[in-house]
Amino acid sequence: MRFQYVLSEIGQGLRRNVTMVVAVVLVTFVSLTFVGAAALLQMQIGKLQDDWYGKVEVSVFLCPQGSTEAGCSSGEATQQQIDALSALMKSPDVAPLVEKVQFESKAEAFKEFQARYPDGYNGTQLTQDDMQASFRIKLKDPSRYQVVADVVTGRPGVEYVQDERRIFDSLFLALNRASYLSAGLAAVMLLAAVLLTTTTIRLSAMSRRRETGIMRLVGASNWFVHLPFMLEGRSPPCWARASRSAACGWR
Amino acid sequence: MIRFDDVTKVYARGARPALDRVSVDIERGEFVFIVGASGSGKSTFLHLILREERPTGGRVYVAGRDLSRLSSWKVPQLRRGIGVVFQDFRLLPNKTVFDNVAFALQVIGEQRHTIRLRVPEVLELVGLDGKEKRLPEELSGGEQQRVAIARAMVNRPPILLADEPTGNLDPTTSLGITRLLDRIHRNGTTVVMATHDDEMVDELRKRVIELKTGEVVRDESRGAYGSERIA
Repeated sequence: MRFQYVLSEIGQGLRRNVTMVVAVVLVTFVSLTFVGAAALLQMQIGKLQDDWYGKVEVSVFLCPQGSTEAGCSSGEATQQQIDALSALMKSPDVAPLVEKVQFESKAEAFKEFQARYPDGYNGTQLTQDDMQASFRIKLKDPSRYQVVADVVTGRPGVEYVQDERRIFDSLFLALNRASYLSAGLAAVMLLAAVLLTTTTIRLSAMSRRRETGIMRLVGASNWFVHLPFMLEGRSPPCWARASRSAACGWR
Repeated sequence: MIRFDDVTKVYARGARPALDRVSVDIERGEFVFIVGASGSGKSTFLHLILREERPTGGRVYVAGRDLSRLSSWKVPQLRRGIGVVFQDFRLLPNKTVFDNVAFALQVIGEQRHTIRLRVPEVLELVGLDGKEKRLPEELSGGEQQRVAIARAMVNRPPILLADEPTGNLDPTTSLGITRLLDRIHRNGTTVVMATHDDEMVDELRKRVIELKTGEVVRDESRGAYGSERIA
């Protein structure tokens, strides 16, 4: 009897405040969608970083012929300089950070170039002397790039050091900003949903003041007096959650 | 049944007490009128019995229970043993006569068959059989008050409190309500009524407790409304 009564009271209350209920459902739905989008975006960013950073390398490009860089004033990197850099990679400062080091000679770089551009690059046919030798370093922890770069940069025979992660930085930056924006909007919308729900409960309580007054006088327990309002206030957000889950195809 | 033991009630600090060191005993099955001018403390007296208010000093006992020590969660249980009737009826306008009375049982979790049995019984007691499906707006003031009395009595409480029950009614209708309350009293219910209705008090000649600025100035069995009439 009590359960039936509570259900009928909730039904009546919801019918009475139907516009407010629709507003709560919509606002909650949108805010939860933003929350979900932000969470999904963050998960995706994390996954992409794990995947892509695992594949990228740090490239130490050695001075080619005719380089105008300050570190290359003595001309093309000599075998002695290459050996010194190779030894540096095995030094206690760098070795613990490095998973794998591979030296790519000019000949290997040219072979790679030919495989990628069999018809030449932008109409020009390059030669082996246009290539530059490099060290390809795979780090154990890609985020420790700067330590390696600081040690290697400025060494004789080094033209410049490139962290391939930089290529993705702008993409991740944009994705991160989008997820923060989404989270910010979600927070605002959730606040609006909470305020709307509170207002719905208060309106409902106001409109049934006489009824609750009588309930108290005839000895209805406090939880029984409050339960319909609580459930009435909670139902629209629950519907919004169910709709959002259905829309996302989640269980 | 109801005992006020040196009860004082002050609403705001520094204000005059609404009740000032009131000591009263009301026995089971008594019919008591609480009379006095507006602001004399009549409503406060009833509110203390219902535990809508707590006394500032002294103790209130209802059916052996000390209301000062009654925890909040036990208050609904106390109120199930007390019926209340007001001057403004306090009916639910969108519910029929039957539903208004049934409401008092529904909200305390009574079974449907109990409600079907008791509501017609109490409607017959108050003389409203046949009007179960009417809405309050379709009834006269006297009939609306009868619905309110039926709602107060449907749970068969041993105590009935009435706060100016005839305040909105014409003299003839008031007389009908007076006789109905007397009939309820004769069935064994303790009735405590705050009233300004001198005709009602004079007609029934029950115990009269008169309050003046919160103090009991008269407590008389088989009393009249005004003390000057006792002669």
